[in-house]
Amino acid sequence: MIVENAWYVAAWAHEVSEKPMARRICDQPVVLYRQLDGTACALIDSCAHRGAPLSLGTVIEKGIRCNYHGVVFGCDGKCSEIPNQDIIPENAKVRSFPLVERDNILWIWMGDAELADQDLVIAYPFHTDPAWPGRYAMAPVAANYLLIADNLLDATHLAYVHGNTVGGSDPKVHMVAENSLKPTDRGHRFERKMRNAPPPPAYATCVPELPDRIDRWQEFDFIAPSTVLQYSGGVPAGKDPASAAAPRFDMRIFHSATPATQNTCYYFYSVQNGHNTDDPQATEVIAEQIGAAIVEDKLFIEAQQERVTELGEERLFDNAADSARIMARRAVRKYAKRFGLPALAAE
Amino acid sequence: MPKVTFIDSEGAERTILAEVGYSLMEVARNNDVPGIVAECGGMSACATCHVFIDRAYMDAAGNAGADEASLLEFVDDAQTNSRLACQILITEQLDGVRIITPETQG
Repeated sequence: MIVENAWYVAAWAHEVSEKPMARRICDQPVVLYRQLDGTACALIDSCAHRGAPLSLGTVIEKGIRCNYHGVVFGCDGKCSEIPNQDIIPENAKVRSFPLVERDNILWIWMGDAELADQDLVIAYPFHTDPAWPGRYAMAPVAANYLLIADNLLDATHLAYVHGNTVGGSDPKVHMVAENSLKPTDRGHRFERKMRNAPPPPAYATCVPELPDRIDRWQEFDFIAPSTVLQYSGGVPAGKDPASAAAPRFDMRIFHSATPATQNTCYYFYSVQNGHNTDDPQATEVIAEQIGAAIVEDKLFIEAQQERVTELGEERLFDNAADSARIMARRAVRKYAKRFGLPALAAE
Repeated sequence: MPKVTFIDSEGAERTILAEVGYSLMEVARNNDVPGIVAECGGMSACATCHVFIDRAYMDAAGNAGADEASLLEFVDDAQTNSRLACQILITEQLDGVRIITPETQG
């Protein structure tokens, strides 16, 4: 399933430049580039003249020039120049997509442009907050984009998939976590507390001074259709997370999955370091640890998609740890319905 | 065996003799009562066996636990007599209870 009427991360702001870049989003070829004045643009990646990809073109004063026969298009998709011809035909235009640049993210709307309400763009002020230095990354994943939030919201995978990184290898820690799940406007907030637990390897690597036992927390804000804002951390067992001094571990992660095709996606994630903010090396280390965890997830999610494609989902069962994931899917259906338009294809 | 009557959103009634010890969701499913999906099979994880309980039988049905109460917050048309059928155990005290199933289950 792909929900078309949504803002999706097309790219991190720094990825897009005057050099055009091609991406497939909601199963359509898109070219992303910046005009010479810095404005980011998104057009269908195919010239309206003979169909060649505009991503092979060049950005010039008047817009993006197709490098096949020299036709130029503006950010609005209208043709601004045809070599050696004064008249520009009415149909000399390409589809342009609404694009919003906010918090170092370029959000694109691939569905009905009239429904593209900018108030629906998810705010993430931590990207520009000096108290949360971070790193940006994107992993292409060969799986339907909804499987990314599925993965994040069933936290019992942490001990199995991420035993050597962010999870810690004791499954019991995750099974006895105190969970709370509350609906929000477009999804839910899922909070987990794991008291008196050993710090997982990633935490200990980032903050070696952490004691043997910490009180851990994980907070996930799921926002339909495919964004999860995470805040995780740990303080010495018994200390108050709101006020405990160092040593402590604090991390935020922005996760958002953008559908490329039905069964492939871009997994955009950024990691912010909240415990050792003055040390760029500390930010590097935490980003590396999360990068390693995402490689672990990708392995499972892609293999899962392969099997589900082959064997279907009908025989799969739910267990008690699935409620956050199930409620996320419910929120996605509700979100899709809110626009009165069906999702692109049936689930 | 206690008698349980299910009423669907259009008012159609089905009365069933329910076996003590089963959950209300299981009784509904075993008797092909429509309107109860029970996607997760009774794990209190999906909120698709939402029902409205006869208010006179609220005490007999017991109180919703923390997980169930949290899931009921996700149900669009929840009322004060909303419960998840998978969390209600059939007892003799429920004899005569009337259960209304909602129009949709999420």
